[in-house]
Amino acid sequence: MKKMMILILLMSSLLFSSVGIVKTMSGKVEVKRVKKVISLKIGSSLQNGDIIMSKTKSAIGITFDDGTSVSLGEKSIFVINKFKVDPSKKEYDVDLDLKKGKAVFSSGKIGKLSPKSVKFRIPEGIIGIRGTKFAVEVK
Amino acid sequence: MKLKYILSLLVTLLFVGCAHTRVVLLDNGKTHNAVIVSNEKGSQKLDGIGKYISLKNKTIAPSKPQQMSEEEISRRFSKVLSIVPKKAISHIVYFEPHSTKLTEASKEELRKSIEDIKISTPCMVDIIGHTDTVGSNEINIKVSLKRAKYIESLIKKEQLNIVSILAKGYGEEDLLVATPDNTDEAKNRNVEIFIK
Repeated sequence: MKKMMILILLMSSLLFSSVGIVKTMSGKVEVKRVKKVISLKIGSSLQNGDIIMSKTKSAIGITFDDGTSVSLGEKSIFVINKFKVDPSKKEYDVDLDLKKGKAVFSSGKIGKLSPKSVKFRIPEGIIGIRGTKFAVEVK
Repeated sequence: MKLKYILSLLVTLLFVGCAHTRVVLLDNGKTHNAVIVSNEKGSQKLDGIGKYISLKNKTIAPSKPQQMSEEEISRRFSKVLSIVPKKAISHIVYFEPHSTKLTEASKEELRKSIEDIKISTPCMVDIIGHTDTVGSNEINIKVSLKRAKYIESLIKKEQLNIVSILAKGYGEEDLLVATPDNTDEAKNRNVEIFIK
């Protein structure tokens, strides 16, 4: 039983560990995490599963673990499905989803190490990267 | 000739009138820069700065790439571009063989990295230790971690606003300079200080 508890704790710490932080922000941006909605501020940590929502006249810049950045304009909805870049274990899996709004993506170490592991989803399809900076607008 | 002009004008007007998703390739300061946009109906490669494609929905293939002017990129994306965080910074410090003693030049580099942390806060810092390929990988992982922990302790002393700091030992993995086993390579005895 005790072992089970430790295992669950370990698993949850892996699932909910930080994958990036808020570096820049203006206006009001919230994150929906599990069932809670939390206001973000500069320095806030972000986790896998987070749904980031920017309000009118607001914007946010996120830096991920490997130095990749994603910046969002106003009225945007962006989901971090997964962000894993571990060169020591050669584990790479980046899965992001812009549901609405505008974003600028600039790749970090993953752009060099394993660009093909990056999926940037948009409602009409998927963007794959080859070492990259791009902008996207979803209407 | 005249008819052709009118037709192309019409096409342009129709295009402007629709709500499309657009993907634009921007300058990343490197020569290697491209994206591939795809859905179930097809895919398009963007490999020139300012090239863009538009997508109507997932049952219609992405459009052929076109060029977006700098003015239009700025009109559409200036607010998002203005909030893009500064690029992550890497500093590399080097060690004497089989030790956690920094080389003389690297003491200056460490000082520079602390300055960069100060201007990047709040930030995350990874401290990644490496060794050359002399000796067993098992021992080298320990040595690389020891080097990383040493640098971590020096940075922690500064008490800066760091959100997370993580020391890792990669040993002989992911070398700066690829070498065969048992090669004494000074450049591989390093710790990368990755500030993001």
